[in-house]
Amino acid sequence: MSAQINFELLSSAAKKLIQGELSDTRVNALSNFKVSEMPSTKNEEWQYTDISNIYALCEKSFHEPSKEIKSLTNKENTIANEIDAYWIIIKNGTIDIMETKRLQKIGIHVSLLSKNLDDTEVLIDDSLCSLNAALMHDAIKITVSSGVESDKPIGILFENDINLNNYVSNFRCIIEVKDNATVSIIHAHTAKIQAPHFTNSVVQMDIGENSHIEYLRLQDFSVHQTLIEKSVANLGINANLNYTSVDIGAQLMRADIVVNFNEKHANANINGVYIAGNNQHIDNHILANHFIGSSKSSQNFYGVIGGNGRCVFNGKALICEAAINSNANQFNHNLLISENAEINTKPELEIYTDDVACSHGTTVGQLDENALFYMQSRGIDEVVAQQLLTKTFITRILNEVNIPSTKDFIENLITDKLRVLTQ
Amino acid sequence: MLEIKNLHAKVAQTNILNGLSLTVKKGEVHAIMGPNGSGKSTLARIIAGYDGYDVTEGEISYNNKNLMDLPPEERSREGIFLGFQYPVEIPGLNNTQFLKAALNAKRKHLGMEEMDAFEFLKIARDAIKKLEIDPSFLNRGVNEGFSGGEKKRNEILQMTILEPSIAILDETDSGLDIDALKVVAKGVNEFRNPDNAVILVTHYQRLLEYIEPDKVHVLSEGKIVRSGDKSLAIELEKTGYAKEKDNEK
Repeated sequence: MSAQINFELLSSAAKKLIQGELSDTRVNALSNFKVSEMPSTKNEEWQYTDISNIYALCEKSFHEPSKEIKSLTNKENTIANEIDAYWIIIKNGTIDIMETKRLQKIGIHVSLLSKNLDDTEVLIDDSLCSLNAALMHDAIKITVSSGVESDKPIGILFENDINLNNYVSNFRCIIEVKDNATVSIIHAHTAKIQAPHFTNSVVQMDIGENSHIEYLRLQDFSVHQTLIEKSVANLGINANLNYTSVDIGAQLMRADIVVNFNEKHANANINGVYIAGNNQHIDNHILANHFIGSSKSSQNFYGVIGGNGRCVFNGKALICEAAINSNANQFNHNLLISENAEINTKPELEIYTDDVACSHGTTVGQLDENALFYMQSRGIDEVVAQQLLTKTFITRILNEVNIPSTKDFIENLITDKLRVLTQ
Repeated sequence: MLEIKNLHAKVAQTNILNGLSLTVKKGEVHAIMGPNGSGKSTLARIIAGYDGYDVTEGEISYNNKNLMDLPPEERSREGIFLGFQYPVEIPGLNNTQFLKAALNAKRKHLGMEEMDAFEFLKIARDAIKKLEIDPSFLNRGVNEGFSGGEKKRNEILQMTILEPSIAILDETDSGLDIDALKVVAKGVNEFRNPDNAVILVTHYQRLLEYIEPDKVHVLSEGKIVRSGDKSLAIELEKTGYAKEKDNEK
């Protein structure tokens, strides 16, 4: 039972949103929400991340539901101008028809979910995911046909329109990649709102046999915003997922990344970079479920924390009894550049079989003073030396991102953030 | 050019330098020799601006400026270079990027135009050719995975590119085989001219066979106990440092 959000209010908000009969999916979502616990710091998975501030935002949004839909998509001043990609911009439940037509031509089908919700398998598990399903308005499905090799990445940008809803957005993205396809996806959380706002996001991915997905999640929200995102990827035989997250902004950010190895010979690299400064909290929870053998998961997260910033890393691999010959590792490295910076880090392994190769480790440290002096002794300013060393530390993992068109954008994002952090 | 007067320094409660004085003029090459723990590296690092030591007394002036007022980066831009005994590895930071940042920091300080990548590469390529360094050096991380000899050659490469007025080379000869030693010596000999100066900090006379010093000083227990010309180095090689300590007592 979710004590923190009034069920009756949620239920009537869903009805107002739809303005008609609720679909089966939404009915299921509501009933699942009713019986599930909202996260609280009493729960081990949430012990370091207090999200009680979002409940008030949710209640407010129930009292002031969505207004008329009228806005159109707009590429001005967004990430879409800076990175060359097929940008799908979702705003107020609309998408740009021109871009979807272009994608259609290369075998990638994009559709809005809100109308034909029951035709798609919508993930409803925990309370936040149920809340999302009950209220989702901006939701899309991307289907990549067999054998497609996209010439450009697909960009996904949910544009918050604060005129539409002042407090909460529920985004959902369902990605279905058929067999033998290769595609890059950039998921951008870069639409800044200068007021308290909660984005509840869910990403579902099914990756078919022999398919390869490059997935990059960029988050640069304002320090008033909260993002909670659940991403679940199901990997087919010989499927390959190269996932990277870059978290720069938000007041509070919580990512749950779940990778399910349902078939043999699949591989997933789950990498991430987070930079947190004053009054920021960034939490990454990763779970690699090795249900079957001969699969490989690798988690590498690098963080830089300054001011009174606080971060959490929990990287876990579950190796089931049938998962013989699995290979799993989790690593987390942190640089604390202020006295009050904090990291709670836990790489975790749960193994129920023999004959596996698993390793994990974590480091927490400060900048190397000898390296700083070395650089200064060559004429480089102390602050510049700090920035260069910090950037070098973090960009090591970003070399694993195989979407060249994003390189400059990410580099600028990180440089700007580090400049603020080290000043 | 460089004048050190009555320098005292300590780390925690341990005195390391106990009243060291030294004058280096333009065009001179000084060798500072002495046993382990005599304070050679401390002296080198204090001149470069390392703040891990507590300088309790004395002064260092450089071109009539009080050096102690300047942070390490400004000392470097003013023309002081320290060749590290243990050059630091900075994985992921590209050597070219590092060297270019260093050179441009100096040029900016001197009111010169900063160099673009093309101009810089030309200078860097000339220097590595002279020093018989593998060109792949420039694309690697700063000292990342370098052998001991490569690291020392990289120090000489940096010196060659930055063209300092005074270069302090802290045991640049240690750990080098004879071929690498010759390359390092060649770099130093090509660097020296009537307008600059070199301080060689070394344990052994071996390096001085290839780089002829104008003056040789013996450092013991934190101060210079004896100075002379190059023949002093040869004498020390035969008798060792123990005698100098006895003399002092």
